[in-house]
Amino acid sequence: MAATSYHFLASLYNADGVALERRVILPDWTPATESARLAALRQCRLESPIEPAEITPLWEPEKGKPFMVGARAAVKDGDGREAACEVDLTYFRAQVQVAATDLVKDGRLKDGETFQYSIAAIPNPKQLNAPQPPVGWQIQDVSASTIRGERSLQSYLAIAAEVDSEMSAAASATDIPVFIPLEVLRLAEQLKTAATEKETGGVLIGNLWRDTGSTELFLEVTALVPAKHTLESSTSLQFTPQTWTAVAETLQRRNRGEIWCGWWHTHPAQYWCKCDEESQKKCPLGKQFFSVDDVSVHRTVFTKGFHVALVTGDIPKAEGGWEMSHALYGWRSGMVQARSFHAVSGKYEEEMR
Amino acid sequence: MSVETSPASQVIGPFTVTDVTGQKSQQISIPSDTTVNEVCKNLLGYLNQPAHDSDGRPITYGVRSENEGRFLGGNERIGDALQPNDTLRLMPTVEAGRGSRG
Ligand SMILES: [Zn+2]
Repeated sequence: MAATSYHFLASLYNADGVALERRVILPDWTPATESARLAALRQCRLESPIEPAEITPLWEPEKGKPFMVGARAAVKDGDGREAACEVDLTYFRAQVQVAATDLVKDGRLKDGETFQYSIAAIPNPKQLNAPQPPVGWQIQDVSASTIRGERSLQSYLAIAAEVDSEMSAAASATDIPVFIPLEVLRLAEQLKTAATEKETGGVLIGNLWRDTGSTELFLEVTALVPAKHTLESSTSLQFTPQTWTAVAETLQRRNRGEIWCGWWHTHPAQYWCKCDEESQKKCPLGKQFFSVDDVSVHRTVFTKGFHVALVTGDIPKAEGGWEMSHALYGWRSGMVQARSFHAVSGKYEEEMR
Repeated sequence: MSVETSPASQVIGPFTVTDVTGQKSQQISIPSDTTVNEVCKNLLGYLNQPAHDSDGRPITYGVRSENEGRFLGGNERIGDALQPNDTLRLMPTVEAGRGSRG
């Protein structure tokens, strides 16, 4: 949860800079707050910093107050030490998009027309985002630690090969390392093939470790639990409460102390693409991507800063036809972004003994 | 004419309420006539769970009692349906999709 002593206002302008709309927005601060929390955890701070996180605006250097270039979410531990996540204006896109949709409905913006926006912060002492429990209720955070224990990051790196996401190699260097066994990737491919033209998915389970040689955290995926009780089509996949129940039961049955690490789903692009053989190679559907709906699933279920999403999609081959490719996405600066991971081909040494 | 007032409801608990992953948990003690819907509505923020998706559509949550091994109806009263020390898991229906792409 987050507290702030500001109101946030979004202003929308058309391409010529003519003001179209100004409205109060209620940004969703959870992703920024969870990113700050993970930063605190990586610095070996308390797992549950004191609630709530504090949100402050970052002012635009030229125009100054009240215009923002972004915002800062900070969490403090009992000693007042702070860890923070800074977000830029793209963080507010979802709220701005809602306003733009209304403008299109009112006929003040054409569908598909480019627009610009700015975000401003106005002091408001009422602390809008800090909810109070109803009268007569007692609510206390009892979240347990997600860190399993200590292991050597080096010994994981020794049995793994990095799978780079082209768009994010540099940015990924600041992310926590994620290890995914080759057998999980092979299972993902088999399940995708079996589902043919339909999307399919599942939940990634495993462990969050702290490196013995540093304070760094890393995520070890141990298994992919195929999703049951889903509703799937060629272009969508619905996870139901029964899906999650079955996963929780699987974790209980395995009884290995594993936690939910993220989720997996497929993009059967070869069935979406209606191009002829030649233009198929350039089909925009034959690229890895994470849709707005995918972000919504991640935001709703996989809110922790270390949670990841694996997508197995179809990519056109140079010689024609399609091949499968895996891409990993995760939280960075409060947004879901493409990131790299390590494919593990061996067994971790402690398990070999 | 006399009007009978309903007796002030007792506070019962504790109950643990968690998100899907079980990684965010809140312990609550609440008036016994609180409904399952009210628990869900008031706890979402504390569990970092959104009430709406990015398009502003409400997200529906199933509430499952671990001790009872069943999903609870939204209008069930906690005092009638549950014994203290139960764990409730809030589980949303969510949809991944290609969206407007292509
Ligand atoms: Zn998708």
